[in-house]
Amino acid sequence: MLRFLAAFALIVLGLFTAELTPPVQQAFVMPWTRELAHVCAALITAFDGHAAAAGEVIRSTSNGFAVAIESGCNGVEASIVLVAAILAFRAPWLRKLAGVLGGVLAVQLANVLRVITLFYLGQWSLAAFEWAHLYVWQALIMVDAMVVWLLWLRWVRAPAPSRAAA
Amino acid sequence: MRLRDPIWRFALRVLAWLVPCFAAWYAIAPWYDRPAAWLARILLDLWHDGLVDAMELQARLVTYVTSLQVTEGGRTGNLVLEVNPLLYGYGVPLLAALLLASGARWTRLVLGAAILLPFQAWGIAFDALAQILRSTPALAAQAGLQGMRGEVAAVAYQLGSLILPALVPLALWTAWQRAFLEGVLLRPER
Repeated sequence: MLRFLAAFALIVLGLFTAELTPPVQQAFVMPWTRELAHVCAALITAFDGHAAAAGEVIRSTSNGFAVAIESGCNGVEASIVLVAAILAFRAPWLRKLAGVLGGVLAVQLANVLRVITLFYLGQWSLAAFEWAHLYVWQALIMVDAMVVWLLWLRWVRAPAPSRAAA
Repeated sequence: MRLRDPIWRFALRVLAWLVPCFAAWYAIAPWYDRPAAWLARILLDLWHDGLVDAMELQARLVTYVTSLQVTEGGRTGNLVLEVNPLLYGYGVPLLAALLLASGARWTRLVLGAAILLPFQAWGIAFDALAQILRSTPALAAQAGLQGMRGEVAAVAYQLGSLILPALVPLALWTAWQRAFLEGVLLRPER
């Protein structure tokens, strides 16, 4: 347990500090955030003709409401926490790799849902938008990361199926 | 998604508990945020002796009147900083929902809320310092935020706003509810 906690804390701090450095921001975080905005905009415009995207901003063409995807809204921090929890746990490297890839995908899917719901929530009520943006979705994204970690944990600890049972 | 799966069932219970927990947290926040604001004031004074002259908690905002002198339009006054403490306190309803969804004792909820206070104070204090950092180099220098100390304050602010508020409740829950984790959630499927 202590080994896990120490490794987890070190990986979180290392990845998080790296994320804040200008080279990582330029090479990874900003392009990632722009791509996330494009994916969200593509999904929204597929069903709603009154939405347009420019850079990290998604705007409603009917009422002018816009959301900008900034650091902290791109799911990178929740992904860092999940990746650290997977890497810090003793498991075969292939299973860690599968956990990291599947886990980051799951966190990003939840994040796309976050951006889309916030875009529509903001057009309905700014107070509801503030609440969902600042508090509720912050918690939900981490719950999502934790559920993914629990599923992964159960998978890596499951005994391999025996030949007799096959 | 299989609803018979204990992990998914637990996730749904957490979602259901989050609604009343967020409502209760918002109702008690004006009282709960007070000790966090005090602790943050202590942190600010530890960072730079005598930085805070006065503190007020009103309309869900913490206001710190600093000893930093700011001149605007030929008039000089003290720099005033406002912080929304709720930004760093949403870990309380999250922890409460996790504990209630896993059948934990209510004493853990109270203890957890107390343990989360210093982390909320961290967020409030470094939010205030980040506001000084973003103002002018002269004010940042007055607050002892030059060079490496400024970098440390910036990283601490990001850590306190993006990672700690949600991570600490999850860590506490994992540490406290290990029996539930092992016996219910991670039990091999039959």
